[in-house]
Amino acid sequence: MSGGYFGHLAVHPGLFVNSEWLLKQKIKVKEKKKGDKVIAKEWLWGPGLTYYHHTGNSNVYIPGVELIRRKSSAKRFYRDFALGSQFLWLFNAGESFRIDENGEVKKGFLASDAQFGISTSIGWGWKIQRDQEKLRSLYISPQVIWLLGYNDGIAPMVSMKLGYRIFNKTPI
Amino acid sequence: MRGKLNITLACALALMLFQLSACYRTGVPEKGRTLFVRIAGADLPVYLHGNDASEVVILLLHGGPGGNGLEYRSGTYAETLESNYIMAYMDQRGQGAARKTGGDYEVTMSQLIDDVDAVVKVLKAELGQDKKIYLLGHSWGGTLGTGYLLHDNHQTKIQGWIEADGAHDIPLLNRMAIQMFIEHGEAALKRNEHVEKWTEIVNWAKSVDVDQIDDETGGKINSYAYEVEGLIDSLGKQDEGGIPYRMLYSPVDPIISSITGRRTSNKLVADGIEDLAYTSQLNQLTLPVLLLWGKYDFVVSPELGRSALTHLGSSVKSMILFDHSGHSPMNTEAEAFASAIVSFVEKTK
Repeated sequence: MSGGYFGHLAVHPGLFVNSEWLLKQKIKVKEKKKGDKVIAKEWLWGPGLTYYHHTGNSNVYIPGVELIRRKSSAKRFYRDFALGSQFLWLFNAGESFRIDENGEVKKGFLASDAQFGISTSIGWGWKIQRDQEKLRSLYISPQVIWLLGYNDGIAPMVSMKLGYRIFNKTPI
Repeated sequence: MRGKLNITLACALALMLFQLSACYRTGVPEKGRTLFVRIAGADLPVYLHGNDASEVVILLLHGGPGGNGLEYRSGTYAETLESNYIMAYMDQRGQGAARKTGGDYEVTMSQLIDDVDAVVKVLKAELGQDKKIYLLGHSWGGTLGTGYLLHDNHQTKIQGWIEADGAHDIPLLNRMAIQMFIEHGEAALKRNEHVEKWTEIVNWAKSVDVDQIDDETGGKINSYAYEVEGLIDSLGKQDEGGIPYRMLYSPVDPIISSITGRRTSNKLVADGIEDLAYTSQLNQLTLPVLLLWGKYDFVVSPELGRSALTHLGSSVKSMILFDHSGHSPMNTEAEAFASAIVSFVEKTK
């Protein structure tokens, strides 16, 4: 489980929550002079929900799912790469109007549209509270959602996640 | 699993309530107001800023194609205009923060003209039918604005037309740019200024057949025209006062805007905008017109302004040439640019 700050272009604020489930884990032990080095390589998947507000543009809800490849060792740092599929529900951040068939101006209510995108992200985590049963970490993850069909083409939506993660199972 | 779901749903509900709280406003509050106009498969944002008490609304048509409205909300000129009037900065279809929302989406000149008309209708309905709407078009906004005013007698809905370095005749614009490259280039070479660059540009310009300018040559003219401004020593300094331009905090995502703007520009070129020439129809325009031009505008030659002044059917028309400006006098002679507009609006409103 993880959650934290989501910033579209880092500065347009939002929140996110993600869950993770382990699909596959491979633990490798390398013998070193100073002692054995243990490396865990994991495949995880998980759904998530993100919301952010871009003033004068949109309020965006993003339910999605990600496949994550994570590599960690006994050291404090770990890194991961995620590939996901995201559905973006964008509500106009302002009043919406349309012209009806008689040429009259009509006010809309919560006008929205939907976009679909493929997300790619890399993440770096820093483990804290390693002595507890469930490992906790802070992490940073730049993300690009490649919006498919945005104004008839592909457009990259760049964002940044700063989060707190509680591992279901301690990798190492 | 259920616990996680509850947390997620609670967060979503809280956020939805926050979103609803930003929905309904009236007039133009101090921090501005955003309207979205939904038309033909697109949501077009219109950002309102300025003096809520004013009876005048200036609808700004940005340049490009590929620009955005809020690019023009910076500097001293924008501050002066906002202190006097309501400024409406719209993002055109496929540009800025405008988004495709439906299947009937298309990018054509004809659709962009319909979009402007829809925005004018919404501004009148929302701000008051008694508001006097002026159009201010810069560069490509001059093409779109002229097209709009000529179409279906839309000029009757507009109090006045302010064309700033506007491209209302693109074939003429290209021919005049070539002529300017040669004239200014040869003069600069005589003075031994920027010899290498001017030699390259003058030789290239002399090789162009002005009766056969294709899209590729048009693009090259545009590219050289911007480059040449950097070679003119008498241009004024870029305005650094007034409203600061905060790109990262703007409602427009600069990355997405840049990519989709370029795509939209290509679509409009494919639609034939490079052949748009409104000079012969300008006699149909009878509303008050103010033409503002930079003397050293190689992108849209001042000759277009002079030609428009001759051809316009308006009884109230004038042209102001800015001696220390290129394509964007609002940035180089900001105060003079703003006071020219204020003076025009006060005389014609």
